[in-house]
Amino acid sequence: MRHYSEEELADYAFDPRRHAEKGDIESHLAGCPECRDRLAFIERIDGALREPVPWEISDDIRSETPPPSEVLRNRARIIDDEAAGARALLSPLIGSALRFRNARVEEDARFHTTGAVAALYRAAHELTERQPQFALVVVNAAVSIATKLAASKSLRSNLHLGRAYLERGRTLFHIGRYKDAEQSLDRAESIYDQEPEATGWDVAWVWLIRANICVESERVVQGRVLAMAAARQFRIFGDVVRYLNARLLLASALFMEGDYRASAEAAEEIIRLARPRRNLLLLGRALQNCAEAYLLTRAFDKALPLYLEAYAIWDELGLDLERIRTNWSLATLDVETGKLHDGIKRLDETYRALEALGITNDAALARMQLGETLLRAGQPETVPDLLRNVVVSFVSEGMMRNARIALAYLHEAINQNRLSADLVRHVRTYIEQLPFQPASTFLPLQ
Amino acid sequence: MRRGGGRDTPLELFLKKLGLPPMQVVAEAQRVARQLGLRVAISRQHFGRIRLGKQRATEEKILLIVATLRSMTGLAVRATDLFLLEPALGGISMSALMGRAEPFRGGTRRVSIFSLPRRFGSWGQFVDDERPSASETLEALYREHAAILRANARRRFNIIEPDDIEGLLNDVFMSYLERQPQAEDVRAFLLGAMNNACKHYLRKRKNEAPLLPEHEHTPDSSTEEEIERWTLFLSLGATLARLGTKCRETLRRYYLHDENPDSIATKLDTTIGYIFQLLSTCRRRAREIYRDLTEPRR
Repeated sequence: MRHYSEEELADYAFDPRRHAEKGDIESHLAGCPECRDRLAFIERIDGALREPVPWEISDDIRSETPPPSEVLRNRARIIDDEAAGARALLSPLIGSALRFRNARVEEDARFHTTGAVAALYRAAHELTERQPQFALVVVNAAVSIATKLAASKSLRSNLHLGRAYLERGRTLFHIGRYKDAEQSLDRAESIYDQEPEATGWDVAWVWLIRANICVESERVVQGRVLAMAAARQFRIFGDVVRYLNARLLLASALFMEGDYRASAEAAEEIIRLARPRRNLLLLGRALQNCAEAYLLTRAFDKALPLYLEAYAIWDELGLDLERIRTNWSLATLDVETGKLHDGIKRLDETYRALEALGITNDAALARMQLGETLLRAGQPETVPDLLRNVVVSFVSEGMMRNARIALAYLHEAINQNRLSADLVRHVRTYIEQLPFQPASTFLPLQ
Repeated sequence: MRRGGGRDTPLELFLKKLGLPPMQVVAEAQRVARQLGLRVAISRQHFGRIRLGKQRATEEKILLIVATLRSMTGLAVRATDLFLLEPALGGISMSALMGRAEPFRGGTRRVSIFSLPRRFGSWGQFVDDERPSASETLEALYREHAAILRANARRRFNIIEPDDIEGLLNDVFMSYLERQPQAEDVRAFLLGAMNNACKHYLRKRKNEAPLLPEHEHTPDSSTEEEIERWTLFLSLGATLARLGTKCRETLRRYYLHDENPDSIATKLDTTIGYIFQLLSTCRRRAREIYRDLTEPRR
């Protein structure tokens, strides 16, 4: 299908009734969403040109160019001076948790500046993923100093106090202390509520972290609502990366609620927006999640290209574990679409790769899925040996005991020569769900 | 972490892609360790074993390698870009979603090893501070966005007093400088903050003095439709301000004043064909500027 150029569409939009190719263009537009979108953009601009407001705004813009006021310039200088001072003080401390603790920055008056507070919570933000416990020490210092400064009215803006509490909440979330994290987020939100300078963007950060806590702690509906609200604010404020992350969380919440179609739609939007930004990690995640949702709605033809693109991205980024997991998903897709031979090959690669990386439980699940597929394909010869070597590992004693019972049942079936694909799937599903339902006891297949 | 096998480790892949000789990395690591006052060191043989996945690196050594590669390349590379750090256990469906749900791994930093080098902070390799100075930020942003923020206050919120508008503008820029939010679309961020400031101003004013008739019709900016409409108007206003005089005048006459091309040609003492050509060219130019102003910069 030949698309119309923007110039051709613009000529048509200028005077549709008199356009020489009116009929051809209109019949093409009826079946071409891409050209319809381009025409809609042209018509939107042409339509807005008829409104007086854009012209008034343009006249305003052309008539005024005064420089920033001295008050603003002074504030910028103060911020820079304090930031430089904070860097000099913190630079030798921030590389070592021990050195930082020994410095007792909360009690040192040199750190009692707004710039130091900002430097501390920004440092904590950077440290959270690698050294969350150290990040917590750093952000606690930020909260403590900001609180003192706010009490003595020497904090330049309460935005910094709110941000310090917010970063504390984020760090606590990373550590898994959800209750403490929520308390810290409550404080941040309450500070923002009372601060006239705080905007929807500041509060959206609180909502986004809270949404994550909700999703992680199985309050999925609440998490979805918060993620939606956060996404809206981030979009208004042009913070596209955070917007996409909030939408990704929303897609995950929808997936967990079982609304796979809506989850796929949300993920499709992320893919569309992440692609031109070359945000490969986000794109890879959205592709993978979207494919998972399509797999569960049995839209296999849609899932396949998404998995393949995600696979290529992990390969490009050198993220081996993600690549192995996508290969695993591709194996599941092969099995579901009847390509058992290809599925067996991929599952074999998957469990071996996971074992090589020491990812014990996932390797066990992949082994069992391979065994199940071999049985379905009528190739039972290697299955007993494959399944005898299944190993799982859980830190929780209770979960470990439950897993052992399930595996004993599997071993008994091997020894009694009564293995079946359904039986293997039954054990596999139980082990797969155990981390999310740790108290559930294993029941033999009926 | 990887324990052998035929494929390159992420660290090895990184070194190869950037053409970094391992010996040079080891030498730089010694310098970085000294600079940071770290007691950890990496020998050539040890680095070789870590690089090839034959030996695990301790947390301190991982951090030293990350710091070294940041120092050598100026890229905000992270430990997870270079080492396979084992994630929590979990079944595939959940791990595929839960791991991707949280917001902090989704930024550009994790993938920054393949993006353009960025300014590297000087205060220790473990902490990024890539923000430009507040003074530089102020001059650049003010020059680019102050006029549209003023227009927004005046046209959207009907705030007439120039001193009040300047006061609001100062507040918005001050809180921007305090935050330095690293948003992709700075104009949208500033406009959001300006809307917020204008609403506070009007609420406060309502309590202090009776509203003038023009204030009674402050648009309800909370609906999606209103947000879209004003985003279009403001972006188009900025677009028109950048058009040349001839284009502005032709488009203004045709679209705003609803003059027909014949009449425009007569008034401008030219041919109707030239006016049609101008209209076509100026509309295209306006769309180009609009896109440039509103689409993400790569």
